[in-house]
Amino acid sequence: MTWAIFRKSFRDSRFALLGWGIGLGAYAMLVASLFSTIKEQEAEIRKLIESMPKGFMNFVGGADVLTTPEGLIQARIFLTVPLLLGFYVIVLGIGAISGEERRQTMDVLVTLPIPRWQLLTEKWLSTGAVMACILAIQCTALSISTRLWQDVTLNVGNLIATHIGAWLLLMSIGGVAFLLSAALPMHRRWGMAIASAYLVASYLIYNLGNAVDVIKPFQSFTAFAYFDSLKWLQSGFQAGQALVLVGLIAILYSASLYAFEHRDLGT
Amino acid sequence: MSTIVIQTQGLSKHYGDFVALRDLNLTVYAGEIFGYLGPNGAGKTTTIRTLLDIIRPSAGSATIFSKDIRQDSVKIHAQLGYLPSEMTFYENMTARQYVRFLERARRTSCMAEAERLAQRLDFDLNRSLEGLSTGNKRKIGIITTLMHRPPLLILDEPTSGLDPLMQQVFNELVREVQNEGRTIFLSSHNLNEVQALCDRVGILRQGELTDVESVDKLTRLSFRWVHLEFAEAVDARAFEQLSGVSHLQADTTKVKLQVTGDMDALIKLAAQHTICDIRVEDPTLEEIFLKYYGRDNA
Repeated sequence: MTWAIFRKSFRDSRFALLGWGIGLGAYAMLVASLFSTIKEQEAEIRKLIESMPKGFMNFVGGADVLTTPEGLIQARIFLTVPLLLGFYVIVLGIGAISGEERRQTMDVLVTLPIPRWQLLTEKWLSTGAVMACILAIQCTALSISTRLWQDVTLNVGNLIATHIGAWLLLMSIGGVAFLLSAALPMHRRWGMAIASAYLVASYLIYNLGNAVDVIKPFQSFTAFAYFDSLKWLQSGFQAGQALVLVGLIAILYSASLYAFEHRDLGT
Repeated sequence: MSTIVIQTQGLSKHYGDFVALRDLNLTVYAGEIFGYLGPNGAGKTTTIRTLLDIIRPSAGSATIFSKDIRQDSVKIHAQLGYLPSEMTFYENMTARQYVRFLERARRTSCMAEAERLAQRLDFDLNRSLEGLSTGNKRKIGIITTLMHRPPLLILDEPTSGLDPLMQQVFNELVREVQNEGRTIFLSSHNLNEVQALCDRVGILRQGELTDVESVDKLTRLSFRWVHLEFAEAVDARAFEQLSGVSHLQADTTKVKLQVTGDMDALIKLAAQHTICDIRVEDPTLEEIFLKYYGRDNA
């Protein structure tokens, strides 16, 4: 591999990466800093949550959610960040191929002595590296928080494992975007719309499934079902869930590779 | 010119019912400048994009340097420079950064050659690629197409947007490339450009190759304009009867006509009168082009 495409794609995302990383890192520290205050009012909060309807309590994750550091981080960070970063990874995934075609820069790329699979792989790896850097900044911010605020008793190993899980989830969402980008010639807007709809639908099905029994059976069809962040935060690396996400990424990568290898470009 | 560089056999490209390229059989030899001529929409860019494996043929096959365009596209791409008809760049780079990016991707060091070409084309490599004029885009396109000194250049409408001075520099560069034994496949609808540069020309019409001929032969053998001026009045109808004569215009002592093929009969008939002046003009490619396509299609 020449890594030229990887470097170019990563370089193009560097400002966005810093923006996302610093923003999410600051937000993570803010959330962690709130824990002491929440801990002081644990009894009242517990009472308030327990007085809510069962469905809603299930939706927010139970009474322990806000009264343990893992619960708070899960509820305030890992319930929202994958959705937010999910939109960004879709932008990167769709832009990887459809964006190059729309800008008409694809012709030059594919006439370089680089096979199509390598071009796509370098784009995938660049997207993966951008996501890994953003999550690494957030993970670092949370690790620092455990030093700054003694009540925030998060296990750093579990924290790292959780961010690896979040990365796998995001790459599976990005994989859908890559597949649409590789399969739909020049239909950038359609690709973006379909991938976003997939993300929102998966997110809603998974989260509403905790509260609505009718939806519950469909949870396992969403990628979010394989990133139970509370479990990752409490018990560390979840090999079973990780395996499913890795398998999903491998399928989406292979499918996007097949689509990209077999179609006309820039038409 | 015996080594074959590009060869296509029955190459076709369909988009549903629309035939963009039909049964193309074409051979381009090493060291020649091959002009690929046709009006917009004739299939020139489709041919090039198929040869470059950007789009896939619906039927037929092609080789470049005896390598299959589908199976060995990476090896082929390492040996060619491609100048697309529409130049677009990453606008968040300078031209120098773009050259570095292509250097890395090609795993070749070509900054020195890029600098030399930039000097020839009067282009500053430190310029941002954002907001470049069409002419400047074309210049950076020419630089990045030539800088790795590929044995084959595929140029799609290479001079569109270049001012006449830069067109001249471009023509010099192309001839230098040819003098080094390298091959150029040049698509154009600019007849003067093809006439000035090319050794042979293929004429494409509605996705079909209608003819391949040397530019010299095409301009010499296809037809010529003959102007005859006589000392006395002549009967022009006699000239019209001759085989290969058409487009006759005459007044009492002057005759202008178009002749295709052998001129022997014309000269013998003219010699029966006292000739004051005789001029023979080769047709421009434009005229040849019109003859091939018919005025409505050109």
